[in-house]
Amino acid sequence: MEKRTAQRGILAASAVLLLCTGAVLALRQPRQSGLAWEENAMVGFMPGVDLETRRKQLQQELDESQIAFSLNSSPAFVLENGIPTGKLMLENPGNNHKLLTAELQLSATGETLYQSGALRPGSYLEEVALNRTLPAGEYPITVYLRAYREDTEELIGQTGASVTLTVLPG
Amino acid sequence: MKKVLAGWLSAALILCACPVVFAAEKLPAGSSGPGTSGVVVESNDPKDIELHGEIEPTILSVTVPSYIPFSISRSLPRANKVVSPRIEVANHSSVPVSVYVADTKIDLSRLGGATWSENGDVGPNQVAVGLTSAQSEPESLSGAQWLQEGKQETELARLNPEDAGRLFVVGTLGESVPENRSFTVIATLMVHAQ
Repeated sequence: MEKRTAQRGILAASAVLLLCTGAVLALRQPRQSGLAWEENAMVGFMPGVDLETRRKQLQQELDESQIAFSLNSSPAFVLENGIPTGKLMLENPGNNHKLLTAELQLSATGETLYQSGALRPGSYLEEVALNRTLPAGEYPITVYLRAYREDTEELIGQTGASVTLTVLPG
Repeated sequence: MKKVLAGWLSAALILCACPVVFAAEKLPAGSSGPGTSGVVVESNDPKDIELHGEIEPTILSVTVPSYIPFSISRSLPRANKVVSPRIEVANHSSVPVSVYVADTKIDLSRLGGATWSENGDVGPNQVAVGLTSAQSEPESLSGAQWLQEGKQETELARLNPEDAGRLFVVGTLGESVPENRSFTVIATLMVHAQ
């Protein structure tokens, strides 16, 4: 009888432990890849977590998302066989420790003009060709830069720059 | 004897220098060589002289966050109900830049029917979140640039070359917004060279 009680006690304790572990793992799931945005805000504080601890947790998350980048602020592309080609000069510095992708969009319409592959830290995208022709002229564009974890390739977040792209006649 | 020799040597020196002087007077068009600056270039067959060069592009170089988490709670005894990380932005460029919010994605589906306020005035079941430039976490909501769903171009800071700035998330919520729930307010920060 005592054995059974002890066994039940062990089973109950194991179940509680498993539930707690599952809860912790669920809360710490890695961010999803692609454009699925994970909740970044919380109403209220977790029980037992004081203000300063929460502030430190938030600061750590934000610091991990910091990215540095360099970009041609006034790219001038030339029409080569009808395709605008030119120097974007996008750099993903080595100290980023994150993968970076670039998407160029026409600011007026949101149309994607160019999508890069992943740039490793310490690499450089000098010249790009747009995926469609554009008549000669000036075009406000938005360069969206998305940061991904190096090891898991999970999306961390995005930032970017707005620049004016000049298309010169070939 | 010595005087004669000195005289002959001087004459020889002058004679040796003459070809250099005569050669320097006229050069074929397009030629170059040492010490040609300030020399008149003549040609019997005038041609256009083309100058080729490349304009070095201005490089925009910054450090910004790509993800901004925060917490919001009615329990905070101040007008600003948000606990925010320090959001550091830095301009490493040789030109001034402005930092602005370009786009905000909002998802309150887990907040039991709460809705978004775009101007900081919240009803009982509303949330309002914004960003402000400050050196320390603000107590009040003054100066907040309120986030709106979708595209916006709200300037947050202007940074001189080799300058840095600091932002904080601020906000408030109504008394009926449920606690201990998570939601999404993702603001995309952009930079633009001035």
